[in-house]
Amino acid sequence: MSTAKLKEQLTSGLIYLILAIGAVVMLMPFYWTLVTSIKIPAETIAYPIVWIPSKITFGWFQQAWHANFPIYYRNSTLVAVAVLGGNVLGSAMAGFIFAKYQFPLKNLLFLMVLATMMIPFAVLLIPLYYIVVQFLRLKDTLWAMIIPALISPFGIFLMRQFISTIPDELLDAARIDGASDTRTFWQIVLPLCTPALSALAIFHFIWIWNDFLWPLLVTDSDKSRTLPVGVALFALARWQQFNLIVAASVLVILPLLIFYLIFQRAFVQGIVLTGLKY
Amino acid sequence: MATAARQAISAPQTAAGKKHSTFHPIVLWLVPILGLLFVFSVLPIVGSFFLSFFQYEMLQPLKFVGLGNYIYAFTRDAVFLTTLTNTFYYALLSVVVGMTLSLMAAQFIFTRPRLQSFFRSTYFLPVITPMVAIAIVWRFILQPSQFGFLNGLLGYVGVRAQPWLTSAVRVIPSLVIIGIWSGLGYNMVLFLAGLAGIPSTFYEAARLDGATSWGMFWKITWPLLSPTVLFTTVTASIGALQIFGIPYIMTRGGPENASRMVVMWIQETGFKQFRMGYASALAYIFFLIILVLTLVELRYLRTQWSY
Repeated sequence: MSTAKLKEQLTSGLIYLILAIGAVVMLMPFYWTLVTSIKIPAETIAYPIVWIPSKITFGWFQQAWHANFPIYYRNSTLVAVAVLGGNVLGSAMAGFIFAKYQFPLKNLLFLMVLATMMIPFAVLLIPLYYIVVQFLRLKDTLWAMIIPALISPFGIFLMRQFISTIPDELLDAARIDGASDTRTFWQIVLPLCTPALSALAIFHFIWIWNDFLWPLLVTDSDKSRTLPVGVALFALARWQQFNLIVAASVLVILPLLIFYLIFQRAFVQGIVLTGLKY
Repeated sequence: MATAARQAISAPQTAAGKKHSTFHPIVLWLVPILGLLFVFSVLPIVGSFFLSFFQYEMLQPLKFVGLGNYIYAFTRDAVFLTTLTNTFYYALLSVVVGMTLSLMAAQFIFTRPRLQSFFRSTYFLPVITPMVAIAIVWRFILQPSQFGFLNGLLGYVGVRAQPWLTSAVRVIPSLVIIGIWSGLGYNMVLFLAGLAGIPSTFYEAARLDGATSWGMFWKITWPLLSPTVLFTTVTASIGALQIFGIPYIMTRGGPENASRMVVMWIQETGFKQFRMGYASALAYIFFLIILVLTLVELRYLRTQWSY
């Protein structure tokens, strides 16, 4: 074997070693989480680390589940579905109009969309709270989390960029065949946008499922708390009960993990599309 | 805005560029869509700017204070200045180290086709893990005693149990570790897409000319990947500066104020101390800082791909 080839193989081996160490670092917290959620306390607070528990219990899951988990799940799901629905349709419609029609103040309105996209949420916080809580009186309801998030400027922007690439000839052909604008939107534009829309939906789903600051401010009781807020407050009140809280976080991780394992390709493509399609 | 769309006389842009001045009722859909955006985004943005010049404590009447809030923030509010330093320290460390590691991981995975999808899915796993779960689990991993998981691991190599989140010096680096762990996969996937966009003929030609892989990285990959680097750095910085949930759950800003971040302080002044005018001013200061930083990044990173 030539020295060049040997060197090449050594480099390759080293790179795989680094990647493998990286993978272990990435996976270790997951392993630890899973094992802790089924351990008995004596083996949790132990030194050296107990890697494989001698006794397994599912009691922590049961306890965690009974702490209003079904309500948090329901709330999170309802908010996510409503927000996704509004965003997907609203973004596609507004994106279509901005991309393919002329109307007065068009540029100014689009500039408004772009400007709101760039402003950090902290800036909106206080007046938004005033509008939603004092004016609309929506405190401690799911609407408080749904309505402000129904339309996202980023979604409108993304869809406008995407729909701009649809050839005008196609839309003209539909028009000549007698399709109305609305019908063109539903039957031609929407189907063509599926990749962008699913990317947008995934992006928004991760975001809304994780949203923490706003739900923390507008909820007061478990009846309206979403999963992140419910679980965070549950954990903050019981830091001493190691296993229980870790079991609770397994319950939080699980739905998204299953979702990811099924739609892995769409997830990754969605990230790339929402991240790079500029 | 609503009336503008209502009066809209629109015309489709045809391929020939001709404009029919027919009214397209579909444009009316913009009224509810942009109406919502106006009420829940534009109005709050303007309202916040307005409030930042007032002393406003929810139930009391507004009192105009001019630039008072802004001056107070920089001269009398030591906590705000601490949160600014903390947030910048966190963002700088996590963006610089995080970007370097993401790019390395992407480059390594991209050039070694074997096990590519395994590594990609593994590194991406923390990205889809909900933030609350990350905060809870890592708080236990970083327990200060020898029973903490990380300290347990360090015990194998003879390192004594360290305080992580309870040490003023180590708390932000600890948050950086968590930030990198959870965000690496996201940036890596973007870098992988960027790498896939570089024509392989460039590398083949360079290899024929006897280029080393190190040389090819700096002469081909780096310049052609700059748009991706620019984009990921800008979004990662904006995201890192707005960190809230992780320190809120893990440290509540402690020890002392060592891990209190800007958004936490805005939330605290606005919703716990009810100084809402002041909190609005802090939010605007924060926004301007992010804006300037983004412009600087755009300018600095853009110069590198002008050739």
